[in-house]
Amino acid sequence: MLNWYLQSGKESDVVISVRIRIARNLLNNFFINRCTTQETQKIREKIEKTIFNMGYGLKLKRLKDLNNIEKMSLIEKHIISPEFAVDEAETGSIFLNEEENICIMINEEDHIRIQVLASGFELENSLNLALEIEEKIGQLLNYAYDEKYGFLTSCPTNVGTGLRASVMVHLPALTLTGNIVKVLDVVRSFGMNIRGIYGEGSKSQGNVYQISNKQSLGITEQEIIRNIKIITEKIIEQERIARKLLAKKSIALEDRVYRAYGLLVNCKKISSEEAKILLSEVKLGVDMGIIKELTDLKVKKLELYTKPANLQIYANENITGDYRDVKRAEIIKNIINE
Amino acid sequence: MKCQNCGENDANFKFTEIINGDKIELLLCENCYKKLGFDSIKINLPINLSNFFADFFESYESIQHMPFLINSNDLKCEICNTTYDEFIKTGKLGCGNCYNAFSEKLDSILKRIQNNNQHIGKKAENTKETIVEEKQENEEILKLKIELKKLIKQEKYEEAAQIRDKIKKIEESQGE
Repeated sequence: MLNWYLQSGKESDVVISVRIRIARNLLNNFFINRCTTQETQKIREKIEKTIFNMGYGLKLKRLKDLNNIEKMSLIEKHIISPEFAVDEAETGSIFLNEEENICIMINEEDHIRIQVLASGFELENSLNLALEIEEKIGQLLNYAYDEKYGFLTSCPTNVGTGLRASVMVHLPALTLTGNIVKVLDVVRSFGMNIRGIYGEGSKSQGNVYQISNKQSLGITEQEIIRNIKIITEKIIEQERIARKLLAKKSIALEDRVYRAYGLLVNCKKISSEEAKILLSEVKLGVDMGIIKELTDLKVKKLELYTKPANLQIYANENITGDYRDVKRAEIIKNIINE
Repeated sequence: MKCQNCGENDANFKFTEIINGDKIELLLCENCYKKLGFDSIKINLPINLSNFFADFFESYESIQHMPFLINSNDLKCEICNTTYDEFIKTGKLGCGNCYNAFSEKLDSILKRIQNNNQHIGKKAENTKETIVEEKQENEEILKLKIELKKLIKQEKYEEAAQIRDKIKKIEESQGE
């Protein structure tokens, strides 16, 4: 059984995954940024006790019991945030199930952050699951809540529903045809956030972008999902149109994606940055039916196991420095030849 | 090139750090690289929206522009002691009560960043009785804790011990 990050869901040619995040705090407790270490531990114990026997196959992992590679691996899969792993290394914990699609962070920016992740365009189902879990916890604990401001969070950008819905999309054609800036502007003018996942600024290494809602107060949870769904559907449409245009210059496109494939297959050492860029081209080739040598699953595996921590998990050894780039090339060959 | 830390082994690792335009470069051997902790996670933290608050609001000088910036010195949450100034600097509130304490100014802020200041989504399932009970008990504990500090300062240790036991009792009955 493959975990969600290795699966290809709905609209997988453009939509990589979705994440629903609901933030809650305990009633009558200080928010995390105001707590002493002792108070933080107390809050953590209270929440851990509550969620422990809640089901969903959730297992408790304290951050201080995870080594760097395990933490980094979770960050690479977008299951926990980098800030959480670094800032709350001593006082934070997570509940994670085996499928790794439900992750509850304890003592991140808020006391409780319920996250549901899914491959493909699964916003409604993920929201329903996240709300179900929120309700179960809410029956055992009292949340900080106000009739006017809704669920209270440490940062006012999350107050109200405490909901952040995000979609990860792969937009290589819009980028290649020089339309990505227009897309970013349009999304932002609709009150959504969009940012490149990797790399600096608005340009994204590997052409992966994350769209998320800005507003969490004065709007219902269903409206948030509906808005982000509409915007994303529009972007999917545009990306597919851009791909059709690219397909007209078929030789140029085939040449481009197959050159990337050739490099991946034949290199003897490769950095994770270069692998990201090449994999984006190769994924485009596979999604457009040009590159027949790879399946969706192989592409997903390549994307995951070329990342620094997951690479070491795949190889089952600690690898640092230059040798990692060499190993990466080996692993790529391994996966392609499976 | 020999390692710049131990001077013994050959340097295989180069560590570069650029902070505020100042560049530091170190050539290290594998042992020193690990020993000094440079192979630990260096994470590029994405920009936190709450960091923007301070700069965003500070750039407005005129009072008409941002009336909620004036007279902020005396605004403080009585439960967690967070001042309005601290909130503007860090972008984070200290506890649920801050929303009440800073309500007037928060309304303007929320209208800006959220386009709204009235929640219409899912409601909390907290039963009214539990909230009121918990709130009362916590206020009591708070009062007792203040009393405890006072007694300790006055060196009235026996009375302080009694208050301390009272607090413990309430916490135990309330907690688990």
